[in-house]
Amino acid sequence: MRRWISIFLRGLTFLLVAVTVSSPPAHAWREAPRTPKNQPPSVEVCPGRVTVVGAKLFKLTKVERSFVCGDSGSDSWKRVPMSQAKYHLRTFLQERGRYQPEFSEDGDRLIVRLGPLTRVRSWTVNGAPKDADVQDRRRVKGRILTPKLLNEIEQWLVRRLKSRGYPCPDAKSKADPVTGDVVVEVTPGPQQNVIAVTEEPVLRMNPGVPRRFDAFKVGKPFNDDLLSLSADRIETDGLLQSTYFKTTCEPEGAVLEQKTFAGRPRIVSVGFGANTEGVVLVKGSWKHTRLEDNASLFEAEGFASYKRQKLAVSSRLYPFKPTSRWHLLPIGEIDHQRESEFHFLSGDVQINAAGGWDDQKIGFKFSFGPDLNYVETYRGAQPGLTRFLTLRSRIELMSHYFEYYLTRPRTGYRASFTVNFGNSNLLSEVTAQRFLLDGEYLYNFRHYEPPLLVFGVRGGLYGTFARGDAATLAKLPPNYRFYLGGSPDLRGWGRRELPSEDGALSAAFLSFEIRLAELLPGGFQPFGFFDAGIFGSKALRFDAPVYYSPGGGLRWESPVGMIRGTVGHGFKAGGNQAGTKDGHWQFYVSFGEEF
Amino acid sequence: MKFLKKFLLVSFITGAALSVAVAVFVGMVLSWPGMVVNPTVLKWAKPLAWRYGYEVDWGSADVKAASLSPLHQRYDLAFSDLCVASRDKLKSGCFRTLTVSFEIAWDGGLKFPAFGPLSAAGGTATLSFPPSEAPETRPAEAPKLKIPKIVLPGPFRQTRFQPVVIDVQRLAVITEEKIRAGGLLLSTLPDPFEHLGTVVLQADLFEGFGLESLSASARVSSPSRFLENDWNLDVSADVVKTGVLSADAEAEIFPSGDGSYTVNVQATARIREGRYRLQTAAVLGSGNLEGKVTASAVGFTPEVQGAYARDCPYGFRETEAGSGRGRFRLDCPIKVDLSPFRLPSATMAKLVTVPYNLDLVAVAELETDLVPTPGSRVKGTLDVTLEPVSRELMDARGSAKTRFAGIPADFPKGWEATTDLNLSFGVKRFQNLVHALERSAFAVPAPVNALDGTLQVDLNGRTDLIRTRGTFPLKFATHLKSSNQDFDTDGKGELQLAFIKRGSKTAVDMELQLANVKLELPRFGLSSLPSLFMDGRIHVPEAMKKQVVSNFFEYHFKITTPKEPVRLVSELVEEGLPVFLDLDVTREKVSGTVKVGATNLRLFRRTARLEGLTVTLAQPPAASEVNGRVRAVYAEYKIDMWIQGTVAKPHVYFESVPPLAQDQMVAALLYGRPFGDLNSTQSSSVANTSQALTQNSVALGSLFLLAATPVENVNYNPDTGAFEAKVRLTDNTLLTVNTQEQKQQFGVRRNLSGNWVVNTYIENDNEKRKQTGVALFEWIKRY
Repeated sequence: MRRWISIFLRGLTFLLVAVTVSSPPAHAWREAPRTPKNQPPSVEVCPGRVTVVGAKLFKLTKVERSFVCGDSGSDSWKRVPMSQAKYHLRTFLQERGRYQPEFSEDGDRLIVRLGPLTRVRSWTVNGAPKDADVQDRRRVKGRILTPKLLNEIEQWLVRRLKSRGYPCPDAKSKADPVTGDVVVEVTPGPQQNVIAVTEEPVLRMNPGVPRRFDAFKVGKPFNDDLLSLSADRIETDGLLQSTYFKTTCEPEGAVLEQKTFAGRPRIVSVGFGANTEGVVLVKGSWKHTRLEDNASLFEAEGFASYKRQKLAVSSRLYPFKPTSRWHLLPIGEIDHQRESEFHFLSGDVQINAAGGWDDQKIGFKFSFGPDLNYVETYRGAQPGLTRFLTLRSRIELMSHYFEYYLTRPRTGYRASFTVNFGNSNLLSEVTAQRFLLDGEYLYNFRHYEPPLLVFGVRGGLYGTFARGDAATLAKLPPNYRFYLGGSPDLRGWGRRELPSEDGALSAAFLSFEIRLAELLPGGFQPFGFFDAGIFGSKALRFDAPVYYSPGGGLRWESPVGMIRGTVGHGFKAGGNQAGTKDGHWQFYVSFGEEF
Repeated sequence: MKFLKKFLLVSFITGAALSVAVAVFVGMVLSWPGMVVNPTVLKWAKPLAWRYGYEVDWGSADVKAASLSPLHQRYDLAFSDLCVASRDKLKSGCFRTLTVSFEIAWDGGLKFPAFGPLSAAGGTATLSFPPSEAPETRPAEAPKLKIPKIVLPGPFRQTRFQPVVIDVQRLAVITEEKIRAGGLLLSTLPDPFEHLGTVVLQADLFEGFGLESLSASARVSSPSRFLENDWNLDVSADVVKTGVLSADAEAEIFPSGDGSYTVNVQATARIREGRYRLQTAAVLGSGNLEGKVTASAVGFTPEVQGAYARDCPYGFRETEAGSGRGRFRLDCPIKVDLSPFRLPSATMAKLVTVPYNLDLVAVAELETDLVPTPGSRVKGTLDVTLEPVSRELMDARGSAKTRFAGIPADFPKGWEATTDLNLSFGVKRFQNLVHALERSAFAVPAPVNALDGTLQVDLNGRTDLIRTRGTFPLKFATHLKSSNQDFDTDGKGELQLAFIKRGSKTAVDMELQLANVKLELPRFGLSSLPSLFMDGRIHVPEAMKKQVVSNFFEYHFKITTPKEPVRLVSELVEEGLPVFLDLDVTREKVSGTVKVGATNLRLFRRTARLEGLTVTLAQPPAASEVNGRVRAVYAEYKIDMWIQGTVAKPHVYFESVPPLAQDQMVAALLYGRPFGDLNSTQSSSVANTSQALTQNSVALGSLFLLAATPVENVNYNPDTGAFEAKVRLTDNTLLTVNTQEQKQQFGVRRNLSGNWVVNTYIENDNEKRKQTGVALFEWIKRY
């Protein structure tokens, strides 16, 4: 029953978003022509004055109609002569890729035949340096030739050059409207390094604080993508409301000036919505992003859904110089979760030392410190109160382009490694060590831009080292046991369905996905996948069967976020399969989730 | 004495003997003329021709001489390959065969009782003119037109004529430049009574004239068989050059008594698209010429259907008897039919009345020769007066008086030519012109077509056609008005006509002062301003080249606003936007400056002062430089918005007194409140606006539109340069201004209204290894 409610809620969310986003405006149907039989279709652009013949649907915007049909509300623009209407129509048709319209007159009526659509037959780039790899660009040939397409090509070339070390490039295009041949003349300018960064001062914030978020290095080649990434990090963090970089090309190199819109330092938010676990949730948070001059942060966050309630208080304290990424990370958290496999209430206190580092290609973050955890288990393991004190360490590595394309995944990689050390001699009720290693790698086939095929591999290796006696196992909290199944790993199985309600002390999975990106209209991207996973009753010791699930799905970039639907079938192979879950079809609709 | 007597006797006897001998010889010759006129004797006579500078030769000769009576003889000569050449070989001619018969007699005088038949066939002739023999360039003495009396001379008045045919198949004239060649055929057609009736000369020119054919024939006949001066000369000629020229002419000349002659000429010609016709009848007397001419020219230019002159009297009278020089006068009404404007329907033709038919009177007086030659000086005047025309569409009147003097061969060197021009075109009601042109390719565009009033074009003044190459003073004025528009202009300039100088173009050079101009801009409605010009990046290269070639009209307008600025009225500005112009407009480019004067305008919801904005035009127009400042005065501070850079990518920055941070200034401008008081959407808009302005991503037009309306929110994507602003026009109406419609990146956070956003994100829980997608409607506020 709970599953059906979950599916219903997910489907409802999907439908609401889809209908809201995809509904065309009402006037799109209003002008649909009604054509008698045996007559070519026609559209009355200006009733009684201008008729488009040979087209089933043709629409001008309201202001375009003023220029073609006249504006009865303006004395001076009431009458637009036919020659002027022709001129404007010719211009407006250019915006629609029609350069050879034919005009004829029937009394006071202007008859317009739109003529053929001009599509780009070939495009050539002159002057681009070899390292710009302009051949990566696809989806130009065959598209309708319009000024906007030329803008798009020029801007793409400029962006591409800016990401290859040319801070001040320029691109100018020209096109033949009959043949559809496009030629772009590129002036790359000098290839330069970043030689200096300045920033607009922010009241009560030390200079240099924004440098903690830099994804680039001074003295290294200029890359505009890394500037955007750096600005995105700051905005996502909330340190500043908005920021961006202004680039100046000097003879010695590129000089960056960081413009800042600090906004007020305190942010309060209250929200409601749904997540892919199929539950309605409310969420509230309050944070102060610039506690003192080094812009330390304090945040209190509350979250409540049917399955989970959580209250967290955390802070990032920067005791050293403003540019230093070293900081203290105290966290206090109370979490109540009620799942089908378990039910517990936990309290968690951490004091971490954390830091990070970036070069031109990757970002690296780490944290380590003690983690005191109390878990009151009601169901799923041995009921009762369990206390852990562990030394928790986490390392995360992420390529800049993985982070840059986080919401439009296509390239890059990431990996993280988390380890917890707990010992019964040090305030823990059990001795257990846990490690979590996972990673992901995306490959954009032939580096096409926009991508055509995206290959993805992700995997994880998890294990808990603990004594195998029943008493120890009974005291292990749910987050020291591992489950697989669901959209994060094995998509042909139910969420966290495997191996059983008790979980396993080790788990590993590997997923492959191939996605046809940006080929179908409407932003729909089909993909296929193959996931496989295995469990073990001890850390790093795995036992058959191997669970696997082939399947396929559809990804849609809606204006409010990513919607993915998958269908897969779970299978198992090898080993003793007695008592294991049976394979079945599994459907998922997820929102915001990526491979 | 004896000796004397003896001498006299001997002399007498000798003389008598000689006389007898001569008499016998003459008698023999008269009785048997073949004794001295025979091929042998002719052969001996060849050196005689050499002595006179010619060389004569023939292949065979057959000479028959017969004496019909002692004083009446007949000769029949026949030659083959008879050739004559000058000693230097520059002039030569041959006949393949030449036969001629004639009779000669003495009857109180030398007479030719019979002549003919004469047949010269297979003739060729070559006349070579080496460069040294080029005609002298000194002005020749004015030729005198003296028509000879054509009567048979005494020895031939009683001659019995037999047919004469002289056929020169090729007569070549060789000069340094080229070879011209043709054929001649001269024949006489005796009447049955063997009188000389008609002489016909036919000529065909077939080489060196650049024509397909050029033929002419002259036929002279006489009722009295040329015994009296009653001849009649008919001349006709045909010229054809395929696709270019086709002409024929006929002329008739005959004596009309009292020593005068009547001349009738009819000619038609077709030169490319033009068709020309001329008919004249004149009487040429001693030292004077009186006649009338009727002429027409049709289709020679698309703008003019035709020009017609009918029965125009002209005359020439010698100023000094026998000099051949005198005064020529022409007084001629000329009717010019202009081509009608292309009207789409007969209904429109009824509504529109255009002065298509112009009546001109041309009066010409010049001092020239009766037979004008390029080397003889002409001097005179030409008055052309346009009969006043008044139609519903326009009035036209005027005159042109031209004085000229010079030698045609030397033109324009040494020429004097001045014209007093007084030509005026006026449109009484501009709306009539608007209606007339509304369905044409030259329709008056909106919003100018809403104006009504008068329009005047004057060509008025004196011009030196030679030194200023046909430049006429030109005036232009409009007084147009509508309910909310004005268009009063005053222009002075020059019109240069192309026909004065070969290869030059008709051109207008004018200084146009916009005295009082107020025009209404269109209402932008609910969507962003569409592109109003063809994108210069998209064009067919060949088509561009053709356009350049076909330009035949040049113009240069210097447009200024010396007194009042042009005012542009728009729903987006409080008062008319004052625009000062200083423009140079030519076919190739528009240069100069456009200055927007100080005025109050709506700037982001409040009245601000535009202190000035100057656009220095450049090519392409998007590269024009802009420099301006807008000042917004608030209770606590003043904010200056500086606009510099190019029209396509203006750089906008702000200054304030007292100094404020950039976010505070933009916030104050956009929303009239401090940055800290803004909600999430507004503060985000402030940041986006600032970034877009700083990165020159907002075109000047978009900036103007943006600044003039209340801003709802602004989005900017620095990756793609896409700028989008929503401005609230009315309570229910949003206008979207964007620099790029196609978005390439979906945001995960989307502002809805106020502090509300849709927030979608992935929640990674590393501890529990969960990745959860979340969609939240969230209320966020910074404080």
